[in-house]
Amino acid sequence: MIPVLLGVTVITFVISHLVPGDPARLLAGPHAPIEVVLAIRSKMGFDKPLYEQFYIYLSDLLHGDLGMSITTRRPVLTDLLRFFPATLELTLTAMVVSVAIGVPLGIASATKQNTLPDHLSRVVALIGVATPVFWSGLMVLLIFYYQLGIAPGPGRLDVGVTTPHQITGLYLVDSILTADWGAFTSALSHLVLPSIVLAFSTLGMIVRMVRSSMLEVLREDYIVLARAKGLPERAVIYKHALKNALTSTITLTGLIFGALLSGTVLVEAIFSWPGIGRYAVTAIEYIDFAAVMGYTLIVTLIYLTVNLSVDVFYALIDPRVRLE
Amino acid sequence: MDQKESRMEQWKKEIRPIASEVKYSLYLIRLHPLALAGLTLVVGLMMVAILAPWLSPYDPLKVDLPNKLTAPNLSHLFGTDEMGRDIFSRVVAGSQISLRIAASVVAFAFTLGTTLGVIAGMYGGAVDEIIMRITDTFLSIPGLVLALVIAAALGPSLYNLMLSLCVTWWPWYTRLARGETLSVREKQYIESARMVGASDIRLIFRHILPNCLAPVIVNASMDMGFVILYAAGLSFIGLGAQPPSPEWGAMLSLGRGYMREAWWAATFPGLAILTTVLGFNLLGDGLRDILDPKLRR
Repeated sequence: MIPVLLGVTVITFVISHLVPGDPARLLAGPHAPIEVVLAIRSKMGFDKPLYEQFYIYLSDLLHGDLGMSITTRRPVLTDLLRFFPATLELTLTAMVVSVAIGVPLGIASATKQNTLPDHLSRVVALIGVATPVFWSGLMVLLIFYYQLGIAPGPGRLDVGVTTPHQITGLYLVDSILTADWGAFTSALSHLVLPSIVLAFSTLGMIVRMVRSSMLEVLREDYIVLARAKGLPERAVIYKHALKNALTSTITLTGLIFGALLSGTVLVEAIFSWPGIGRYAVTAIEYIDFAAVMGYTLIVTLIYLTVNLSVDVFYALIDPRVRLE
Repeated sequence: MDQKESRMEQWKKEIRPIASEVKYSLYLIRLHPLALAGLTLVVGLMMVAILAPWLSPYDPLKVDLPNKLTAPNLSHLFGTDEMGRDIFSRVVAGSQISLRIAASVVAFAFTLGTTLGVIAGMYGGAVDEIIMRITDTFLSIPGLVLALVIAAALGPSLYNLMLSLCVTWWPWYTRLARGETLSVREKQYIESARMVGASDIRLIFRHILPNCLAPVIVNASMDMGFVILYAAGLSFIGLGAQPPSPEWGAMLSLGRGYMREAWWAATFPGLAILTTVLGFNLLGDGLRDILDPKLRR
């Protein structure tokens, strides 16, 4: 993981040097006198050789210094930490929804291979992958909020509901911990639309994976044995087959989490969700480059950590991997 | 003259098995309803893009303020936007932009990625190590985020968007082609070819590449769709095509502003993206079945 992280910082360092124009001039503003620009240039180290700049960049990162945001005028790290819980809550809820719908669809697809339910769940999954989240988000808002009025509008809470006392920053968890049921229902209802929209985009991956690994497992000898000894089909599928099929599906968790996490950029923009995705989009509008870079680094770090934990977890639960 | 003819004959002989494979694939597609649906959508989209000048009743950029925000009717099938521009004509024009983006990005990623992957798989050792380390590093940043940050750094334009997607996409092909090369490399026919003195170049282009291409092609078909999806998403948040360009994502972004008064302005570009991506996905998904040698015969 360390070499990969180092590689990522090289990439981000290179990208930050792609910004056209003089970064010192950009920071100083178009009308600043040349002395100010020169002062900024030497202060920020823009006049030093590249390898030295990279060293400074790296040591700043290691000290948790992601630079200052020019829009919020706060350190980028502070901003990201503040907005991250909203994104995490949305991503995790979407993950739960996606698994809750995707796994049964995948099982149905595999057990009724090449019949109507199989084709239907495949088509649903493919439509899910093909639907742009920024469009489906707009459509569900238009229908369920503006037209029917049965869903809450953008944001995390209804107007007038006080934010639950911050413990984790996840409103659902915080409101349970403080027994604030008004905030809980409000937060939950606000999560419904964005998390379904987001979950729909990764449904296809789960359905396909569960389907193919179920099909593989169902051909194994121990399934034949289970059937031969007269176990009911339900028990064969849910107890013997599913358990083994799901272990290989776990390897996909990292990829799905990554897709959901980056998908929040678009979904948060639609639902005015105050997470790091919307923070990044706002930063792009104001050419607030430190914030965009900070966002990239944080998302990558989380993505790598999740993938690493998935690998470790997989080794823990699957004895075949452990033995190797 | 004689020699030329014999070359022609030789070429015909060599091409015969390939041609029969292609014919057989086309035959299989007809039996696969989902692949056929995908192929129909994709071909339809290409026709729309080619025939765009004749299909669109209006200039996609022509402002017509008296007719702004007209609901869909017979003269404006998809209605008009806030400047009175005909949305149908804009959606049609957008198909050209989307296809151009997708084709360029996939062609670039396919060429660079596959070349590097085959080289890595073929030579192994330090070459493999270096190529795959770089590939893994690129893959460790979520695709949408990498494209987003590069596009943001370069500044918003359609060209920069394509560039950022190219940088994001090639590593997938490297990984895929390397894996395929590794499995093909040990086959007996490669060894035989090497023994009769085939050069590395010949080995790569005549023996390894054709035999590891099937999964790469499936991937390329799917990716045409995903590139369009990503491009539209990035244009939606202001990177990439700038309004009033009839790019679908940029149109959606404009339509969002007056969604409550004019549902059609955001709905139709979105539907265009959905059907296009679905078409490429169905085709890719079907091709996966059709090109799979295990299921083929």
